[in-house]
This record gives sequence, structure tokens and C-alpha cells, in this order.
Amino acid sequence: MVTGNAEQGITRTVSGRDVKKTAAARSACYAVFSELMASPHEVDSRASCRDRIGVGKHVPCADGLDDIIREFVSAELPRLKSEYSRLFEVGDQGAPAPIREDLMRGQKAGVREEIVRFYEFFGYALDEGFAWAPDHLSVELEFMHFLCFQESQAGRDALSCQLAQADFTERHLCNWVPLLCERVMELAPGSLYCRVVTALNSFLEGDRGWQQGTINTTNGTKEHE
Amino acid sequence: MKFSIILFGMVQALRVTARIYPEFAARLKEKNLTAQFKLQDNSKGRWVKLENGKISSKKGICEHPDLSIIFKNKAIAEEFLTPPFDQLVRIDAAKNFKIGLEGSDELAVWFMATLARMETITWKSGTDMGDGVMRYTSGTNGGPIFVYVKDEKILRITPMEFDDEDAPSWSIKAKGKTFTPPRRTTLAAHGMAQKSMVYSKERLLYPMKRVDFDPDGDRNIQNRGVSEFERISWDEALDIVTKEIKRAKRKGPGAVLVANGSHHQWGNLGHYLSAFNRFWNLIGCSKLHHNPDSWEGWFWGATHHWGNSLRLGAPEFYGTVEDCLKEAEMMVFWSSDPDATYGYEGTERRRWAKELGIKMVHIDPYMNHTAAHLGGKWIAPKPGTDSAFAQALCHVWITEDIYDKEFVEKRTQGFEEWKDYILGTTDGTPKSPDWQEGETGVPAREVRALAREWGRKKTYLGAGGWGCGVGGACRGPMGIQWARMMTILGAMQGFGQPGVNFGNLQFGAPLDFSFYFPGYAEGSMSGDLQFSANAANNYQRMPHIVTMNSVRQSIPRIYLPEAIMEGKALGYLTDVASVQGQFQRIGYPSPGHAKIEMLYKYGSASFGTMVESNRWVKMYQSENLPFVVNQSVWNEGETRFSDIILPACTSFERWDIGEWYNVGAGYVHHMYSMNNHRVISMQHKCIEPLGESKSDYDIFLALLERLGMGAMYSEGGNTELDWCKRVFDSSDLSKHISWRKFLKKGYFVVPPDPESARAPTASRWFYEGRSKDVPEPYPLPSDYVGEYGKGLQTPSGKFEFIPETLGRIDDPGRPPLNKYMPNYEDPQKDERLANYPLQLLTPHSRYPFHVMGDDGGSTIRDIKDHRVLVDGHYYLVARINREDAEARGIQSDDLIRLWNNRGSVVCAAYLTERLRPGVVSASTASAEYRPAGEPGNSTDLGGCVNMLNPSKGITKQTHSISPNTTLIQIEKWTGVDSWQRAEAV
Repeated sequence: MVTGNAEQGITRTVSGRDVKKTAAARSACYAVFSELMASPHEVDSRASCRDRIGVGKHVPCADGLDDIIREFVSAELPRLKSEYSRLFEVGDQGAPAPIREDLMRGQKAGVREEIVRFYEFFGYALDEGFAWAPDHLSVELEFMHFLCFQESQAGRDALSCQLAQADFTERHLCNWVPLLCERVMELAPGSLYCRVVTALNSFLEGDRGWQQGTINTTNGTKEHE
Repeated sequence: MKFSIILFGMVQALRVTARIYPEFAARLKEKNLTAQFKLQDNSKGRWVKLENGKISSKKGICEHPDLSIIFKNKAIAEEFLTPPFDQLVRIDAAKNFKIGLEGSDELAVWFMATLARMETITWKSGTDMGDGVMRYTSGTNGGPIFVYVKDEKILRITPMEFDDEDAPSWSIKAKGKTFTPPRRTTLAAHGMAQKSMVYSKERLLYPMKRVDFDPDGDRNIQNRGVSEFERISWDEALDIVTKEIKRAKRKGPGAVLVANGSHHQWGNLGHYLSAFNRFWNLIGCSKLHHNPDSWEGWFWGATHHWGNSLRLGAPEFYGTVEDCLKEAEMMVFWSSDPDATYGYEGTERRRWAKELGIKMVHIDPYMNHTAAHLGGKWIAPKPGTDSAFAQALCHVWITEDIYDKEFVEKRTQGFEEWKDYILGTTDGTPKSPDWQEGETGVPAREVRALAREWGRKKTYLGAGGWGCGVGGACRGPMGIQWARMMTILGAMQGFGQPGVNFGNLQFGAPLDFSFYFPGYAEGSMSGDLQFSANAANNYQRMPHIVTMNSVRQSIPRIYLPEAIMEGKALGYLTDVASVQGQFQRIGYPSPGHAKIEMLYKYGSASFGTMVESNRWVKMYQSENLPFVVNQSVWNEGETRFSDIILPACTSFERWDIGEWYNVGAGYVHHMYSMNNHRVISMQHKCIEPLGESKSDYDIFLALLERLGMGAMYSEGGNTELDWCKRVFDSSDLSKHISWRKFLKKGYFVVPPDPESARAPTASRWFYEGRSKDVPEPYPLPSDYVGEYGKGLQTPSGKFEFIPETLGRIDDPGRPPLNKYMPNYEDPQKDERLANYPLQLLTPHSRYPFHVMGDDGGSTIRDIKDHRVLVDGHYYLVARINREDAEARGIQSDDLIRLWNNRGSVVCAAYLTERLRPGVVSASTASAEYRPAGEPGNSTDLGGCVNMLNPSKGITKQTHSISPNTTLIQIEKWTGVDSWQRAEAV
């Protein structure tokens, strides 16, 4: 999973990353995306999102986020509820664009278990009410927020958090959010949530690339940058 | 003084419990209220106030409490409130107005449940397996299980392995060998798939409303099944449903119709005869009157030959496992595939029979799973012609003198008339092996050979799926004829003597039948004495408040679409109390009752399980059905043909208790004799309900609270766990294990009777001319013609070859003499049917339990024997003989269309030599309905093969289904649908 230690001669390290400058800002971006992708039936995150206008400024791949937030906080709650559940929660043959990774990826064996092991390893505990949906997009994004926050606090092994972010992005978020984005663009082009998911997809791609740029992998004979 | 002390102590207990248990403290924050306890004359009392979790209390009477609990006098109050609490005292107080409740019903339920929680919060459940893993237990339709849970997630499900603490298993010594069942339970496929079903993508997680349904405006009924749904809150959903109930009831009694399937997730409390039954009694509803379904031919036909009405006409089974293994030389499985659906307990026993060299013969158009597994002789008559085959056996027995003459003479009547018919004396047609060949397609020599062997060997007749009835050929146009013939065959060979009886080792294990635990048919918490078997034992053992549905209107289930669309429907009673009860008619509408205004549909299996189910699809879009609410766990078939969807949770997400295959008296008494062990399991609440789903009980409670009946429904705030304890206390469990230990461990294995005390062999008493000695309270005392306990439940007390009771009615399909009548659908005899040259069998599936387990997220879908993945969709398998397939250019896994005038369904072809040519077999196991075009009038891609089966009853004077020989045609599916429903020929 995540290692900074030599395993079969492979070592991964992180360099060129200004933790103080980037971790908190990225953490905030993940937090706001998590709130944007939470179900408005469960929580009205407009107020908390309003407080986060401006987070996008500090993260290059999140430009445009602030505009999305502004649109979101000014939308009527019934409209958000209706649009959200129609796309992500309910439908004739199940949700048209499932907001859960397991469903989006066709319920492949082991997906949820791997996610839960990620959470457990880093001490990220789910509220009892959400234990059934560890693969919900909002939860996965909150986990990334958690990892970035841990990194910013340097209260534990920052390297471990950094590598976990990269692994989780690679194995999970970037494995299915593009599929979700494609589905949403097909089903509801021009809708608010289409813009949110598109922005999220773009952010994830950008952040993945940025992360990979800071990770050095060596295998004893060859160094990769 | 004591009353005051008790109340003071109660408040202190609340405070202490909140301090010790954070979850209890959190509970107290849920509501703000003031509750008043007082005596009726206001002379004494104490009020308790909860505000943001803080408790305050004072002696005396509060001016404006939110709720009041009022006791008639001090003695009553003290008796009621002093532990240990006696349920009988409490129920008596409630029924006789010794205690009263005023104020908010919802708050009263919540508050009383909170008080009870002070005790239940100390109860521990499950076994700690280490590493954060808890092992819980549950029950399924496929067997009881261990459920391993970590961090609120189900990790795995396994059968139960017993430990040394559990009761020892029985043994049977037969023919020099000793057989002991393995010390574990077994688990059918649909049991093994439960984890995938819990987390299925088809789970309904939120209450929903159809987007174009406006209860105060345009309902757009014609769009049911077509328009989308939107998520709404529970409050909104429950408010709409409650309002609709009130609207409907204002039209008159019986305007609310409730409908449910025959089966359910396992568990006593959650069963429809329990929680739902209590709910609908308090609402007052018209009900669907169920036909006998899996017992059709036995109930409408066989019962007239020998009684057994309380067993739906099926044979006795006690002691047959031991008797068969010890004595039998041959077993004939006739339309019998016990290795499908019911789990594998009996499979082990049949393996023993094979080991003992007992010969196996299988009579079925399909070499079914049991036949393939056991081997032996396979005989495949044309579907629907079995009676001709059976009559030819009789012919050989009579002409070659190889039947039990003494039994026939002493224990039966009417044989001479029967003999004359078989020999052709009366109609000029001897029912010989040569004669039957023209009907069945089975060579005469095979019939002769079987008859001779059968007549000379001690033979067990396994008739129907369970060997003692159920399923198979009894559910077909010739089902009554067939079941009657099974009894006649048994009579001619002297059933009841050693080695000669009914059974296929599925029933009849040597268990303790006197250890009491209620079966689900006993109605559990329902309080219903009329429409459940509650009165037999449960009502006395578990004191609870009786409920009664004041509405007398019911609708014969098969004709519900006609009742809605045409405004009328007629049927016959499934009345098990007597043989003649079935002659009574029931009709809709009933005098003085309203027509149906709303349907409360519990579950979503109808399109897959009801015959000619396109009618059901159309029914949902009828303007005559203004409102439909569907309460289901999974999004299946008919779920979306509703206006409001209420998401229920699985049995893993709520508390329940049950015994594996214990149905109870009045249905299939001692059905648990199918198991190698009697296992009673706590069905632990393993995880919290997913999403916003709720237990059925909580949904019913929430609705009834809005109607002021929550306290009545819950009997003062009982939760499901409280009810489980009451069920436990009502049973014999408490004599063997404490509640706390049972709750923790999760199961109890009932010790079997010692060998010397085992139940006697079925019907041996009758064979030997003694009083009935098997442990069942059937028939009712009033149904004995002579002395109580002597003879059968027939007018003569004997087995009647020519039933007198059938002579009292004029039903051409059930003449007293069970003469052979060919299938009414025969393309060789009716040229209008020439387009449909194939016969369709629609048996129960081996994998899902009816349709349960076939939802889109279930791992059962990955079983290629059940569904095949083609272009991203899972298509139900239809078995075709290779010859028929090749003639149509069909290869394995090709998508094919099965159709007739009633329906058109796409399946995936499964070519096999195990099916006789001219026959197609596809199980009624589809949870999915996916019309290619207009719902109800286009081809179904989901696999609801029951759309092809007729709604016509077996006879004019029965309320019965008749699938299993339907005529169809098949072709490769082109993807273009031009099929339309037409009047069936």
C-alpha cells in the first residue's frame, strides 16, 4: 500500500514539496469538494462552503473552484436536493450516476475492503451512520482532506501521508471519478452538479500530476523523478 | 408509599443509566417532553421532564404534561411497575382499562421504549472473535448462519458449526451402518448470497415519490412504471401515506388493500403474518386471499381421498427418514427435486440412501438436480400426462396382482369402481402401459418394468419437491389429477407399512417435536386469532393484545388484476380447517364494503411469481387504483409501479428471532423435520440500516403513530428486541438457556429425542388400524366421523378411492373418479395452438428463493446455471433440448424469445440433453422486469417467464394456478420487439 521503505529494492521519497504552503491549501480544497459532493438531503453545506470561498486561489489546479462555490451557495436547497438525488441517488435501475465508487465500478470484489483498510491504517473513523458507505465520494474526498491535514500538522509521519495521498488518488479517486464525470456530462450537461464534478475531476487530475511530480521512486539501479 | 418509591427510583435509574451509558444519554437528547405518572383520582403522581437530555422530576401532578400514564389505583400501578415484569399482568391491565394513556402517541411510545431501554442496554450480543471481529447469528430462508462483522461491516457469512456445548446429534442405524448428520447447518445458494444482497446496488435506501404524482392534484397513474422517482424525506413520505389511508377509509371499509408475497426474509417478528398483520388489522384492510400455491393439487384434490386438510392435503412424514433408510428398497422421485431451493440437509440423507444401495427412480420431464446428483433411472413423460403413467402402473398392479390387497380391503373404500375404470370395464379403455404410451411418450415396457419392481419392492414415493407434497406437478393444469394419483398409488401399495410410505428423505428427521418454539405462521406479535395460527399455542404462551381486522372483504389473489380493472373477482377459499371448506366461494366486491382505493404493496415479487403477470403490470396503470405505496428492500420488478416507495432494511439490520424452517401449526406443522437439527437462532442486528432504510416494524410504527395507534401497535413502546425477548420467554428455550446467554451466543440446538422416544412412523397407526399416534393435532376433533383419533379425515374414515366429498359438488375438473383428462392445451388436438409446439416448465429455481436473491447486486447472478451475462445484462437461463435448439438455429448462450399470446420473454439458451424434446424449462425466479417497450404489452428482457403462464385455474371451482405445461414457441431474439398481448387461445 503505502511505503517509504525499501521493498524489493523500491524506495519512494517525496521532495520539492513545500508542505507549509501546499498541504493546508490542498486540505481545504478537498474539504470543500467533500462538502459540495455531500448529499444535501443529509446536510446543508451552503453555509460552510460560503466560508471557504477563496480556497481555490492557493492551489493552481483548483482555479475556478471559487466560482463553483459561489454558484453552489446561492442555489436553493430544494433545487440542490432534486438535482443531486436524481443524478446520484435514485433511479429506475439504480442511481444513473452512482456517487459510490463500488457501484460506479460495477461492484468489483475488494474495492470497499481496500478503502476501509486505507481508513483504518490512518485512523480515519467513519461516523456510524456512514459506515455502510465508505466509498461515497464525499467520504473519500474527506479522507484526502484528512491526509493532507495530517501532512500539514506533521504530527505523524508526513511521508506516509504524502504517499498515501498519491496511492489513494491513483487507486481510487482517479480510477472512477473520470467515469462519473463522463456519466454526469452525458446525463445532465450544463447542470450545477455537472460543473462541480467536472471541476473536481480536473482538480484531481491536476493534483495527481502535481503529487507525482514530487515523488521520487528509486529501485537501487535507476532513479526516477 | 410503594408507588411513590417506585417512581422516585425510576427517575434515579434514568440518571444512573445515562451516566454509565453514553448512548443512553444521547437517546435522552432526542426528545423534549414531560411525562406524568399518576393515579386516576390524581391523588398520587410524579412527573418527569426531559429537556436537551437533562432529567428533572417532582412529586405530584403537572398541569400540562405531554403525556400521561394513568393507573386505575395504587395496587395496579405497583403490580405493573414492579420488576420482574409480568407480561400477562401488563396485557391484562391494558385490555381491561386498568391503565390509560393520554397525550402524544408518538412521545408515549418513545418514552416507554426509553424506560425499557434501561434494562436492554445492559444486554450483550455476539461473540468476540478477536481483532475487532464480532460473530453474530441470523436466520435466512436457506438456513441459519454466522455473520462476521467488523467496524459496522459484514465481512462474511458462513453456515453454523456447532460446538461441544451444543446438543448431541441423533444417529440412525440402518442395514448394518450408522448414520449421524454432520454437526453444522447447511446453507442454500440464496443464503450464501446474503452479504451481496445486503450491500446490493438494488437496495432501496431512501423514501421516494414518483416525480409526476401529486396526491392533491394530478396523479398521472398511467405513468406508473415509466416516470422517475425523486428522493423525499421520511416525514413527507409517511405524511402522504397516512393521508392516503385516511382518504381511502373515508370511502368506506375495505378501501385499503394490502398485498404481500408468500414468503419473506426469515424471522418471526418481521414476518408478514406478524408485524404486517398487526399493522393491517389496526388499519382495517381488504386482503389478498392466497391460493395454496405450492400445494395446489394436494389441497384441491388429494385431501378428498384422505383428509389431512390442516396439512393442505399432503401426507404425514414423521419418522420417515429412519423408516426409509432401514426398510426401503426403492425410492421413486416423482416431480421431485428437493436439492433445489430448500438447502442441503436432505441431500446428506439421500446420500446415505444411495450408500445403502436403495434404488432411485426419477420421473420428471427434466433430469433435475436431484436426479443428476443421485443417479438411477430417469423417466421423462410429457408434461401434464403423469396421471396416465400412474394409471398404467395401477393397471399392471391389478392385472398382475402386485398391490396390497389386505390394506385395500381393510383401510379403503371405492376400490372396485376404481379397478373397473383402470381395467376399462366402464369406459372400454384399459389404462394399460400401451395406452399410456400414446399420452406420455414413455415406452410401455418401461412402465411395466417400473410397475413390477415397485409392486415387489418396498418403495418410498417422493411425490413433489419435498417428497410429501409441495411444488412440481401439483402446480399445473393436471395438478389435481396428479396429486390424487399419488395418493392412490400409495394406497394400492399400503402406505404406512415398513418401507412403504411417502417421502424422499427431505422430511422426517428424528427430532424432538414437543419442544415448543413458535413457527412464523403462528403470527408472533400480530394478536390475530383469525388469520394466523396464533390461537394454537402462541396466544397463550406469549400474552399480547389481540387485534382483529374489522373488514371482511378479501380478493382472490390470482384475480387481483381483474378485481381492480374490471371491478369484480371470484374465487374459492383456501380453508384448511376442513375438507369441505374449500367449496366456499369468496368474491369481490363484498356487500357493504368499498371498492379498492389504495394498495399497500409489501414486497415486489409479483411480476416474477404471479401467473400471466402482464395483467399485474396493466393493473398498476389502471385509473381504478388511485394510490400505490410499495414497501420493499430491493428495487425489483414492480417497485417502481407505485407512487411512494418506502425503503425497508434487511433482517441483518434489525432484531429478530426464529427457528430454521419452523412454520407452525395450521400450515406445515413441524416443517423443521427437514433439518438435521432444530436450530433456534437470534437474528442479531449485525449492522445499522443502510442509508435511510428502516425495519418494517419501525415503518409500521411510524405510520400508526400518525394515526394515534403507536402505543397500541408496540404495546407500550416495545422495540423489536423487546419482542424477541417475549418470544424467547414464550418458548421452551428459557428452560434450557438464559436469555442473556442466548442473546450472546446467538443460537440453541434443541436436543433430539432419545431413540426410544422418537415420533412413530407416519401413517403406521392407520396401516395397523390403531388410533392416531403421530404428534400433530390434526384433524380437528369435529372432523372424526367415528371415535376420536381413529381413521382418516374422510366421511368413511378410510382412504377413499372415489371421494364422497367430491360427489357433493359439480366440478367437471374434479370428478369423484379420478379419470385421466388430457391437457386442455394440446396443439395436436387444437389447430389454433399449432403456433405453440413447445411446453414450458416453470419450476422453482435452485438458486434464488423464488425471486429473493435475484436482484441486480446479488452474486447469484454470476451463476451461469441461473443467468448469463450478455452485452452487459444478465439474462435468465431457459433450458432447451438440443434437438429443438438446433432445429431453430439456436446455440448455447444465444438470446432467445419465449412467447405465446399472454407474454413474451427473452432468456439465454442453455442447451441440454437432460430435458425431453418438446419441452423448455425456465424457473420463476426473476426479480427483474425490463420491458422492451410499453409495460404490460411488450417483450420482457428481465426474465419474468410467469408472464407466459395462464391465470386460468386448474378447475372451474378452485382458486388455483396451473403453470408447468404452458404452450409456447421460441426463436432467436433479434432485438426488435413487435410482440403484443392478445387473447389467449
